Amino acid sequence: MEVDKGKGEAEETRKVAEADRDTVTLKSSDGKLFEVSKEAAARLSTVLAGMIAGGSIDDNGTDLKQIGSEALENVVDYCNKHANSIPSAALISSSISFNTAPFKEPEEWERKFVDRLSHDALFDLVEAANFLGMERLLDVTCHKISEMMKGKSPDQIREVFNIKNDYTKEELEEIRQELAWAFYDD
Amino acid sequence: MRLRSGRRLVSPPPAPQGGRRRRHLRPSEEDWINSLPEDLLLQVLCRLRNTASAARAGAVCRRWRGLWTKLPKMTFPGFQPRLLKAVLAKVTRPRLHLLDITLTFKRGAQVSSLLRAATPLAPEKLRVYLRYNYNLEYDPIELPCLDRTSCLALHLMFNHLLPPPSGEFTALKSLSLDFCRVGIGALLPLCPCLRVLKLRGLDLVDTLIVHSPLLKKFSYQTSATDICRNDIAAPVLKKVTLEANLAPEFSLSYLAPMVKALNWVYRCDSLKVGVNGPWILDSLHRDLLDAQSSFAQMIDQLPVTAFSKMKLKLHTEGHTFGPLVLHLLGFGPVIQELKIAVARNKSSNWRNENIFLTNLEVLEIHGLQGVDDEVDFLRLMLRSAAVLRRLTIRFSNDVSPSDNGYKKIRRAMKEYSGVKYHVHSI
Repeated sequence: MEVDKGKGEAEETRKVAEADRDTVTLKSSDGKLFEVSKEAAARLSTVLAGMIAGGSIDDNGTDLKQIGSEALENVVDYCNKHANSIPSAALISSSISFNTAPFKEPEEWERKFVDRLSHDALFDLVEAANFLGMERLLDVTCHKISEMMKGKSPDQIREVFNIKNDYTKEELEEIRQELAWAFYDD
Repeated sequence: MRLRSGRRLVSPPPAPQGGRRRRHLRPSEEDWINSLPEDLLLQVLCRLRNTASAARAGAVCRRWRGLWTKLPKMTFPGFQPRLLKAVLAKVTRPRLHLLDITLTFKRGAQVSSLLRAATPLAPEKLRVYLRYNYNLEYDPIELPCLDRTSCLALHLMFNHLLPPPSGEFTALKSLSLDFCRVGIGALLPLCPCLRVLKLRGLDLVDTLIVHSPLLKKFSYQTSATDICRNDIAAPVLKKVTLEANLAPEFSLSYLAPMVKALNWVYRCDSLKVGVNGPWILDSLHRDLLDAQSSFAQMIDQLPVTAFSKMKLKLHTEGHTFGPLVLHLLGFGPVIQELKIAVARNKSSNWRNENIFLTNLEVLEIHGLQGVDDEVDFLRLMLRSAAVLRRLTIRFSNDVSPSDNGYKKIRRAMKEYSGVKYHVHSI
C-alpha cells in the first residue's frame, strides 16, 4: 500500500487526515512512504505501539531509518494480511497451558508469505521484525530459516546459506569428538 | 527493548543511510545468515526444536561453534539421564526460557539426579516426559525445589513423585502432572502462586485435596483410580473440569464461590453425569431410577446454586427423560437458557406436573420424535416459562413434516403466540 509522492496537495491532505484516524504512515530509510492500519501496527509491533501511545508518530511519515523500502513493504504487507486473517485456535489458546508446543506453528498464509521471499528479503525482514519488536513476524521468519537447515549436514547448510568453511581439518575432527553426544538422540 | 515474551531484543547493527544496504554492500552470493546478530541466530537455531541438531550445526563454521550452549530454549528428545546430565553441564546460558526433555530411563534415581542437575539452569518452563521402559524399577522420583520455574509439566509413567523436603515453588504458576503417583495435598501448599493445575491419569490417588489461594483453572481427568474424597477450597477458581470415577463412599467438599464454568463428568456404576458450561448432563446408563437418586445426591453437593444457562444431553436408553429434567430444573429457578438433546424416549404422563421457570427466555430441544410424551413435556415447559422469548425445536432425522407427531408439536407451539419459534427438520 505505497503512497506515491508528488500527488496533488489536496490528496496529500486527505491522506494525512485519514492517517490521523486509523492508519499510520511509515517512511523507509530510502524515503518511501507506506500506510498501515494503526490497530494492526500497535498490536503486532511493540515499538510502533510505543510510538503510537507516546504520540511520536509523524503524520507525514514516521522515519524508520534502519529499514529499507523492500523490507518495510513486507512488514506493512504482513500487518495488513494479519489484520484480515482469522486467528486459529492455536494462536488464541492461552500460552500458560503447558501441553502446547514450545513454539507456535506458522499459519498457512504466514508460510506462503515467507515462502515467496528471496533469501535477502527474508533476512532483511528478520531484522526489521526484530527492530520493530514484532514477535510473531520474528517467529515466522526465524521458523522459515530454521526449516532451511532442518535435517541437513553441515556441508549442506553451508551450501544453502553460502557459508564459508573456516575450520581446519583438525578443528573439525575436534568438534566431532566434542559433539559425540549430539549424535545419540533419535 | 523487550518483547512481550520477556525475550530481549538486540539493537540492530547501525545501518548505512540510503536503504537497501544489502543490495549495495553485498554481492548476491552473500552469507546472509552470518550477517544476523547472535541473538537472532540463536532464535533460528532454537527453532530446530532439537538442541542436538543445533549443536551439530556447530560444525558449519567457527562462529557457530558452541552456540548451542547459549540457546534460550532447549529441547532434548530421547536421551538417557546420565548422558543428558553431562550435556546440561556444558550449558553456559544462566537462565533457560524452556527446557524440554524426553528420557529413556531405568531407575527413578537417575531421573531425580538429572532433575537436580537441571535446577541451576532455572528453566522458566520445564517439561519432562518419561518414556515407557520395560526395565524400570518403581523407585520414587524426587522433585527438586525449582523456585524460579513458572511452568512445570511432568509425565512420569506411573512413577511416584516426592515433593522436596524443604523450599517452595515460589514462581510456579502452571503445574501439569500426567500419569504419576503423587500426594497432591502435600505438594500444593508448596506452590503458593499456582494459577493453573492440570492433573491427568493420576494413579493410586483417591483423595483430591486442592486448597489453593490463587488457583484459577483446575482440571482433573482420570479413570485409573476411583475418587473417595474431593476437597476443593479455591477462592478465585473460575474454571473447573472434573472427569473421574466415583467410589461409593465419595464425599465432596467444595468452597469455590467464583466458579463460572464447570465441566463435570462423573461416572459411577449406575450413572455417568456431566455438567458443563455450567451444566451438561452427559449421559445416563442402566437404571435411571437408581441413577436419579445418586444424581440428586451429587447435585445437592455441587457448588453452583444459581446458574443462568443449562445444556442437557441425555441418552436415556428407553427411559423417559422428563423426571430428570424436572429434577434439575427444580434446582435452578434462575435459568435463562435451556438446551435439551434427547434420544429414545419412553412415554410418561406430564399433564399434572408443574414447575416454575420464571426466568427462562431461550429454550432449545433437539432430537424430538413427535411422541405424545414429548408434546406433553413441551406444553408443560411452555406453560411454566412465562417470559420465554425463543423456542427452537429440532426433530430427529427420521421424522418428516407429514408425520402426526410433527404436526402435534407444531400445534402445541402455536398455542403460545408470544414465543418466537424455529423448527428444524430434515
